[in-house]
Amino acid sequence: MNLERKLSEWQEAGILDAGTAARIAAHEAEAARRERRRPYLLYAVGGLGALSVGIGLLSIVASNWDAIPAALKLALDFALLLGLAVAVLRAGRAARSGSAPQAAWVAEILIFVYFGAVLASIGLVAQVYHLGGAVEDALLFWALITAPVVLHGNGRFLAAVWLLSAESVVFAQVERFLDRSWHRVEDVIALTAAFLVCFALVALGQARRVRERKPAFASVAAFLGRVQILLLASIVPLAWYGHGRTDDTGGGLAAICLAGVLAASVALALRDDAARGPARAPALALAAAAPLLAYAPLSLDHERAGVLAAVSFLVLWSIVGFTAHRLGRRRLLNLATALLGIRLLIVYFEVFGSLLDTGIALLSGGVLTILLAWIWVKKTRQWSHAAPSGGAKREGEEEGAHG
Amino acid sequence: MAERPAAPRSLLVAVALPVVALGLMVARAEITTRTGRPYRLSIQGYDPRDLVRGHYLRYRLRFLASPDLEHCSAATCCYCMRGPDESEPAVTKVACNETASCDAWFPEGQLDHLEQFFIPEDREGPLGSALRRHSAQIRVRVSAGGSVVIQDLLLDGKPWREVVP
Repeated sequence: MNLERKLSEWQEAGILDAGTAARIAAHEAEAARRERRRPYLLYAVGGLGALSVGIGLLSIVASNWDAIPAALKLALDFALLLGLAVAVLRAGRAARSGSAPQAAWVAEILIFVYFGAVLASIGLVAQVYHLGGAVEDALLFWALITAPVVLHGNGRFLAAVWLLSAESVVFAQVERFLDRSWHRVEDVIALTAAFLVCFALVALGQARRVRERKPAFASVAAFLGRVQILLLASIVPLAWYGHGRTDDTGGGLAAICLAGVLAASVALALRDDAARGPARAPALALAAAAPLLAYAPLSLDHERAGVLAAVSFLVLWSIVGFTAHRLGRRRLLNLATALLGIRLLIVYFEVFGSLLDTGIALLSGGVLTILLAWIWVKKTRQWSHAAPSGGAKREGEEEGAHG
Repeated sequence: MAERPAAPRSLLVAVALPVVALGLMVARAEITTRTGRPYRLSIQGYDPRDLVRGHYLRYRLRFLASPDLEHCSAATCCYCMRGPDESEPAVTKVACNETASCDAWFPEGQLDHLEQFFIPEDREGPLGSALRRHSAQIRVRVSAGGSVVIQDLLLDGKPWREVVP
């Protein structure tokens, strides 16, 4: 949205007077200046550097450096940990007092390095004393003891890394539980666990206390949860390409799990502040469609039914696109329409690949691609002009918040 | 919405927690190493890779293949070891509430801990070859509470570093 043009339009329509328009323009200009001052590049480079340090520490432990006696390795390791702990404390205090301009960034990087160093230390202790056990237990231990210090970080990257680590631990524990209880990994149970973890992330992101005290953490949690729900609903229906037997998956079990997941999904959508007003209906439709489309191939007996995989994808991303349109989320709308176009092309080649000569298929496919691109560009322009008045501002706020 | 600054005490607790937890992990292992009863268990092995804990040798404990190993049908089972220190003990499997007559014991859940030994990156090949040429045992320490820690890998009764330079 071009702000100056819109302000001019609103003044001409008598919605705003000149003074209000000037104040809005000044406010947005100041917000843009504050946005440019945020050291994104600094955070990105620092985050990559900290990640590199963490991986380097892990690699050194993994090499099992035999030249150093075990007791000395442990002593050096604890000295490093204590040094990092003291550095984190000092940087945290400096950031809180505002005495150093870059203290917040330094504290963030130190927490990240400390986070990686703890994992390396767990590996070192296990190595020195030959403590066996499953890797997922070590990762669970790591996630638990580092949770408090990670929560003192404010960056999105650190939040994302910790959340993804915690998710991996949860999935590994679920897989082990299933393997021990059922002596196989039950697809329906695994899918249900995956959905519940995603819902937990979204709920964490929606929780008022978390949003107030840790807005970056909440934002990342909600984003990860929603993206992973879309990934599940997009990828799991690929099971339609195979054979499905409910004797293998347990049709009754699938129905029970689907009912629970559906209820949770709709409940979360009803609580979502972002999906209010004209976006409520499509958001609820999406909340219902995602679990239904994901569970369908695991709940029904079927032979190879690739067309249903395509239909699932097209239905899902059509609803996503319509929801994005109602919310005024232009980038999400563009993504949805692009994915729909790509999937349509794939359907086209799936249908004709075995029937026509490759040359004719590619020729007609190329024409179709150009046609879809033209329709996409035309429609996105139409939708961006017709976006709700609150939606564009909400996208601008979102772009500002995603720093 | 602006972030509130971290309270100093909560940050202190947060950074101290990993150090304390790791310290307890070391202390527990060290206590078992120093005070546990030493035994030697014969092994035979193979070699995969664990990224989190470096290179390791994975093997089977010979006593698991023994026909004398009784089947335990209790809810929780333990391995019962009988024999003097530094010997290869006679191992049976009993209910964990029947370990009073054992010289040492450990829960069957700890078996995974005993079936891998970490080795330096550059010793993988020579050690693997040495295992095929020499009789191999692991020296373990078993605490009174059933914790078991591997102390060393023995080849023909000697520490492996003396056999594989």
